Amino acid sequence: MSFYFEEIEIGEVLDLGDFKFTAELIKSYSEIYDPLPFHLDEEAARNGPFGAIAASGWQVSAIWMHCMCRTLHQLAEDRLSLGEPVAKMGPSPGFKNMRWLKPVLAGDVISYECEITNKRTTNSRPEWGILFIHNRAKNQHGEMVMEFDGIVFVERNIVLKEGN
Amino acid sequence: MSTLYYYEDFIVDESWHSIGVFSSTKDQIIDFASLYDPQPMHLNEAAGKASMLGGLASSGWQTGALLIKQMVEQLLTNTVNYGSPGVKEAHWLAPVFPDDCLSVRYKVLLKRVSNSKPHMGIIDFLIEAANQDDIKVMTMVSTQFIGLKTGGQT
Repeated sequence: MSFYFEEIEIGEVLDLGDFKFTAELIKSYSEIYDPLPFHLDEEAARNGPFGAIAASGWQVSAIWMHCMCRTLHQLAEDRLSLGEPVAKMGPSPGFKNMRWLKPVLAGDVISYECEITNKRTTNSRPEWGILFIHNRAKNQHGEMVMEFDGIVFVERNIVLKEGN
Repeated sequence: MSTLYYYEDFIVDESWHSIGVFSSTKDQIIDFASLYDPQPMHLNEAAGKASMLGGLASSGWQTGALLIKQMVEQLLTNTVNYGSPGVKEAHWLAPVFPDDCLSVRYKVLLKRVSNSKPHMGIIDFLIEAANQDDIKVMTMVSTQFIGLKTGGQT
């Protein structure tokens, strides 16, 4: 992570950047984790439900995590270069309402973003705050391909916390 | 050719169906995390120990991917499968460490025939993975589109 819990505002949107799904990347994931014909084989995919080779929905979601880590890493570097402290991110307890709305086909470029929908503190873990986030992925035509509601733990800033 | 299962073959009830076991080596955990979830606790031992997880642990995204793999290989390849519209909920309950042996099972939570595509049914599966100490590590509710034996398929 980079920002402390106290610095993050409800309604903020974080741009997580783009990711290109090549046929090679789709197949290398599907071979191991989702070996259905329409994720693996160009010929089968042409006659399948999507008309072309499509990424496993779970891969489209897991790449969200890649883009989130990439963005937070960059933000952390920026803060460190300014001499500012960097907040830790804790493990996620889970998510809800993950929807795969349109197939992601080989060659598609997907843009990801994350909106802060709510935040709260907990008594059981006073050093951590909980963020509720709504995540979206769109393809190069601007069509929404995936969304879900996530939960993450973010470190609290003792100085900011005591100032409140 | 194994038996092909249709929407009608799935019964909503309390019974659990085992769909095998899996484990990930340390190298497999690091490989997956390097691309999908490059956080220190999934990449190196010392950072894992210092984290809430207590040791180098698998990315939750990898555990989820492997639950889906078990469903695909043990069940969905033997159905008339039209893909999945999503996952209603997922919970990461306990860390997964290298070589942990995870047993996976599912039950059928609910089912209905699609209004817009009457040749297709919509089924919610509750999928669970537990480790060798019988501690539940992950659960998810996954929705699948499964073809009907009757209707629209003539």
